[in-house]
Amino acid sequence: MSYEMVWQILQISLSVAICAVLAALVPAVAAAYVLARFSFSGKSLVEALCYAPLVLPPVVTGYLLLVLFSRKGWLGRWLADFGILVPFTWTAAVLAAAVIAFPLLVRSVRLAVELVDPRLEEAAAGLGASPWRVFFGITLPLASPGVLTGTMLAFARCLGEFGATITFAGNIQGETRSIPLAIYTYLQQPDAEATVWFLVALSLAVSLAALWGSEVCNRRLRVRLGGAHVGA
Amino acid sequence: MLALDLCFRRGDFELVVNAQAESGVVGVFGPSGCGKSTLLKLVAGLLKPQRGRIQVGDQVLCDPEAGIWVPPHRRRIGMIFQHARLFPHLSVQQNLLYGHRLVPPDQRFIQPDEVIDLLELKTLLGRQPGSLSGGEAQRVALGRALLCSPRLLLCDEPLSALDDRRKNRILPFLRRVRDHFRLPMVYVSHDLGEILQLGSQVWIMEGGRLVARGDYHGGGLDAWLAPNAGDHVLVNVVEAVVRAHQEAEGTTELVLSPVGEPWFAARFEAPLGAKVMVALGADEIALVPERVPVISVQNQVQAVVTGLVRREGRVLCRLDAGVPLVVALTCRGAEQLALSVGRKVFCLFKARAVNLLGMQH
Repeated sequence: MSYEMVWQILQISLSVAICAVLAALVPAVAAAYVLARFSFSGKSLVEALCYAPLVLPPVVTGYLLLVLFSRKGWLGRWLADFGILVPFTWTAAVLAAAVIAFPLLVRSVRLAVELVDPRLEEAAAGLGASPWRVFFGITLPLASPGVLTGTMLAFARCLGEFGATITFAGNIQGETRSIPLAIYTYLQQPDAEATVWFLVALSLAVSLAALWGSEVCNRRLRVRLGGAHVGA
Repeated sequence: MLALDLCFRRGDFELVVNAQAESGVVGVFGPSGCGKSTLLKLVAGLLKPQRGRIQVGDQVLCDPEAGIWVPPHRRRIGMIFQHARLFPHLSVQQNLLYGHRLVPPDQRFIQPDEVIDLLELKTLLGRQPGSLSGGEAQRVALGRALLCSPRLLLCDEPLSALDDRRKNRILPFLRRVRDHFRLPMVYVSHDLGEILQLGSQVWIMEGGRLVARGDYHGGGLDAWLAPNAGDHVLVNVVEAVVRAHQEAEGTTELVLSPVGEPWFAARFEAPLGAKVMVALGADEIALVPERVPVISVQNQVQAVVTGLVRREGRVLCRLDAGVPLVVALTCRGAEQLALSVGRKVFCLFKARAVNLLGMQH
């Protein structure tokens, strides 16, 4: 396997994972905040929808995305009018990974928001802070370790995404073939064991680097937050 | 300054309050669960009443029938709570200035330097809230509330999480705030002694209702105070000056007024001439008709009966002993003494019953 090919596979893996996490982050934080702080009718339905990709087989999630975005699907039909076709593109790989990672983000952020003492938010409101200012100035900073943990978890999950990707984005070299898809491809070929081992090592290295990075960030955050979540 | 006419329901609990308060300090007193904290939350806008009106100064903050609702962050009402609720990710200085920065400059009438000096916060500015003691944190919280230049300061049991020693250190700061900024304050507590150190206007709450309100010394509360006189809640809070320490007797001599007799308290550390606040429980005082020539009790103070209220087998006796005093008696005791308004009596109480509350700085 050429150097260019390795670089291409690594680039696809990283770009898909990073973009997927970034795409999922804002809606996930919003959903987590709503689920943590508000009660409303239909909440359990929203909850079930948010967590569905976690319990569904990824192939099923991928298939549902394919149906939704195909030329005749709800969203695909509308997008086709603008000349946009999502399935079997790099965008589809990002979308598949984002949907799969979404519940992991929601879970971590929700737990973190629930740990933020709502009395601190009350105090901030009493000091003249609008709800937006309270969220960005108090809630989010105090929940940031959870946001970071969720982000790393989601990133790792995106790097390993296989089922939904191969169903919705295919296994296209130079477009959607990430490390797991490449490993799968080379496993099908005779005499490619060395390449498989190389890709496995690459996968390990990327994952460990991500884990180490998140640990460093997390430690710094906790020091900055003084290790306290409740107002003493 | 504050006008309330509201009704709030949550589950089985119902709070109905209709009252006005003028400037100064209003103490809200009642047992836990009576709704006093709920009342403050309603004024601050942290809870919404089902109906009624809340008015501070000339602005109506809430009137559901007229569709008026000012959200908490636009009310300009300072609040301190049982716990300091400092933001743990911000330094003390950032905490202090959090609300100040949100107030338009032309509406800031309280400046950081003033508050830092008054509350002695200079040495704490660079610290993180996690490293402060409970008392220090509460002082910072008080400063933070003041710095948003509020038109009203609400205090929700701000001392109840502190031990007595720390409590007595914070109260002088609250008195300073009261005297320096002349802010209207509503002070909620289940400790009448605490309230009386700040002012004598008291609202008494029970089961979500205001059952009495008025001046503690003026008799407006007597109908409620008399039947509850035996429950250790009634207390006399007086200001005094330390005149001398009697090392041999283990007492400290206090002067209350230029003409009255001195009081003796159990010896405490204070420089001569220091201004102090002391408390004396209403049920710690015994009354006798004549001066007792020889007795182990250290204090015998002459007084004149100024008021008597009988309720449910209890008598609340008001006295003028140079300072106003309340004494709780049984009906039988009052009859045996043949108490009547204008009668001269002597108050007996042990030095140990006179408790130091705090020292003026």
